[in-house]
Amino acid sequence: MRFPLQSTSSEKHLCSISLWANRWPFPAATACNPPVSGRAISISKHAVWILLFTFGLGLEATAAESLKLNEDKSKIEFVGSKPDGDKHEGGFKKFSARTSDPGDDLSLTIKIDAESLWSDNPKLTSHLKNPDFFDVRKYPTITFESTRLKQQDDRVLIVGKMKMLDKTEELSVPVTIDDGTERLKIVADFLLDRTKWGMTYGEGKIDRDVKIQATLVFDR
Amino acid sequence: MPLTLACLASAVAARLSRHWAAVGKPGSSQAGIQRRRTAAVVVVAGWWLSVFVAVAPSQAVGWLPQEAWRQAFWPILLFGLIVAMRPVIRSASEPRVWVAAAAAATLLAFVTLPHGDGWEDLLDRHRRWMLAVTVSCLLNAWSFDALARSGGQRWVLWVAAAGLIGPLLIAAGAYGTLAEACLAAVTATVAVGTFASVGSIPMLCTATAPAAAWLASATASARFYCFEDHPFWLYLLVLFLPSLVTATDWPLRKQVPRLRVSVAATLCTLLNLFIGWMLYAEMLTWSR
Repeated sequence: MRFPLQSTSSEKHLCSISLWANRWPFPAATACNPPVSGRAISISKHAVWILLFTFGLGLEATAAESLKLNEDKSKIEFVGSKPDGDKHEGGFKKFSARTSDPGDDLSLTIKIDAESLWSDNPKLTSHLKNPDFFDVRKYPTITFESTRLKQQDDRVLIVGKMKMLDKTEELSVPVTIDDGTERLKIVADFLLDRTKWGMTYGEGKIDRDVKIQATLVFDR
Repeated sequence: MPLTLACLASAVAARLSRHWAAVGKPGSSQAGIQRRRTAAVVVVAGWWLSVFVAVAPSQAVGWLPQEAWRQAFWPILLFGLIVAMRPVIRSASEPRVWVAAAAAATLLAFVTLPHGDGWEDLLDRHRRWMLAVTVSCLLNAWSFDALARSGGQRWVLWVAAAGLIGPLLIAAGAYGTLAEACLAAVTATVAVGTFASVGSIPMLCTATAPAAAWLASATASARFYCFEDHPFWLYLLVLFLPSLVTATDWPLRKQVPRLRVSVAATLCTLLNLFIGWMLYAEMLTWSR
């Protein structure tokens, strides 16, 4: 966190602050004398603290507001299929995501409420929530934490660890990043091998690869 | 696999009970009693093993499986063995057998109901479901035994098989692996029932004991693993279907077998159709 007072080059001013805020990493200035009287020093001390605290809060608020997940425009959905071509759609209604500003070190953390699972068939939804698939009662949360970005040909991959059914596996997600002035949009469309996380029910009758379609929109 | 094991158990039991004349006949020799007990154990163990083996490949069932319905396999075996021993034990010890069976049924109910993290929202239902599972176990087992003793030895297992369709229907809409286990139970019961009908082997009726336990346990498990809420009376209908059929047969017990079988078959079919309609009328199924 940077403070505006730190930008002044006045050694006298710096000395005054360091005497009143011994914990700050300023050079020790034990030799200098306070330039004003004791009462004025007390008022100034409080004023500095208030200024520093308010400015710090303002920076924090600004940082929190800069990349907030737009839940209405974001979605995480999947499509399961069978070898005969039969398909069913589904997704998760509740999830949260955090990200930093894009750049060389984009970080992305997603936390999905597994119990918010939905599908296009009520009985299928019930089945997906059971131990055959997501076992939402025992494993109510699915998480993804990115570790790095990778460039592959003309695609950007977000590489991270995904934890599902109490098993953590590395996952590389090809994404399209749209970094606008008002919002940041991350779109992913890829196939996920569910058996890597121990979801093996119906192998041979249900495709092991599930199509994942995710759109995360962050407002600045 | 369930069909093969059940048939094998039936054949072995039939051979062992070759010298058995009638149920409840006093003065039987010690050797005959031992043979009947062995046959009863073979039938119950064979039925249980056929279902156990059908489920085992899908997960490590083992000694302490994760899901509650898999842990219930052992109390089901215990209940089946206790009740199956009853036909060969004289009346003086029968109350003790039923007390032991009640204890086994209570243990089954306790093990069957899932608990722990993730199940807090259903804890308030445990009490009535424990009571329902325990009573269903005992009442159905007693009903099957009463039906067999009143001349229904050749078709009592068909009533048991019809009773096992209810939990299969509930599980099929919510939990595939449990539904497969229920199907294995139905298959095993049908296999033993076929032997009992064709060969007229009364000892095979002992398979109704583990079937009664499975019916109660699987119905409770299917309900708890199903995220849809059906009326409780529907679950009670599934739990006590065999007892209903046996109660209906009681006034007809002196009639010709053909009439009794027809009435029982009609009632079983209608009740199962009604249960299926209640469960699936407004729902699409996963498999088309």
